[in-house]
Amino acid sequence: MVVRGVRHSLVFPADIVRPVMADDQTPRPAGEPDDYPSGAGQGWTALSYLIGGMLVWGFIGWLVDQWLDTGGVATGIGFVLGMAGGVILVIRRLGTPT
Amino acid sequence: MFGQANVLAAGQANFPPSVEDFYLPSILPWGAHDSYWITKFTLMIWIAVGVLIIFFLATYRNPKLVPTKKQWFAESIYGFVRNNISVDMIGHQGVRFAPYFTTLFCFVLVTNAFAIIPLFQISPNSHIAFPAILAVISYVLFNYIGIRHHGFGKYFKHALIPPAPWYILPLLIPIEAFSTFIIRPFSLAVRLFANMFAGHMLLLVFTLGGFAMLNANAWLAPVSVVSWVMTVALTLLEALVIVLQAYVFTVLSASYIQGALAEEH
Repeated sequence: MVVRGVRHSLVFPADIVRPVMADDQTPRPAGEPDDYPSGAGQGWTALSYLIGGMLVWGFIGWLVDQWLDTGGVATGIGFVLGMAGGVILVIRRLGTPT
Repeated sequence: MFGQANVLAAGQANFPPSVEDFYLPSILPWGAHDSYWITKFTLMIWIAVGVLIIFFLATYRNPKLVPTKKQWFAESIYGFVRNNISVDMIGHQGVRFAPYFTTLFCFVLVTNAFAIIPLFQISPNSHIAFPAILAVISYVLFNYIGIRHHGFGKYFKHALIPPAPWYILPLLIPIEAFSTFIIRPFSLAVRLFANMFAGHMLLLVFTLGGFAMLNANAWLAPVSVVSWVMTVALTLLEALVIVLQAYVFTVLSASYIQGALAEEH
């Protein structure tokens, strides 16, 4: 691509932005966003699934513990279930872009 | 803020530093310890907002096709956020959000930068309240965008129900709800807060540690120089963290909005 006679890679992004800042906004085609998050977002999403899984089901397990007096067994089961759930979510949400 | 040097020289500063050191005396009424209406943080937020408004108004007042140096600088910032964050994360639709992300990025950057600017030397973001409000704004925004784009039912269905067989859904839905609607805003706020808090704490430890050793005894006194050299090194590290955290906060906000706009697959 060539902008004002210069190769595109040599043009500073600001030079392409200028018309926008000078209020010369031509409507862009309404593009659809990409289907799955990129880079940093994906990493943080995966991390929050793994931690969230353990916290949620660990907490539910702990509640069951308090209720049935199982002495920590339910909490342990909850943590393991939560980990499994977190892994499944990472695979399902991030692992298979369609 | 003022008279710090005297306190340090007299060896009166408490070492190790504590959370108390993040609560500065009030400015109006001057020096009060129980009034938090107008403090150094209030002042810094005003300055940050004022600087940003004046900077962008001044550089933007009379935009030229061949830019002046100031205009080029402002355009570079806007262009960076627009192309490298908005469009990269969200796609064409991202251009709509570029003004918000630019404001967010600049505000976080300037308030973070107070951590190492002489005389300010502490960032408002080292109090959880400021990052929390910024996170709430992004949180409300991405939920609002999602609901407006998909409609209420479809948005929550998309957000809560992952593509998986029905029999593991009961396991997955609580995790989805927790990670999307609770962890997201929480981690957004805590990440920024913890980084700025830890950064200020580190600088305090090494600066005050130097004075503590200087005042302790003749043998430890020379070691205080090492402590201050560390302070300089950590200030440089802090400069990196300041820019990085402003960038991360903006990128994650963009990623959440992208998630809210994404079509089902």
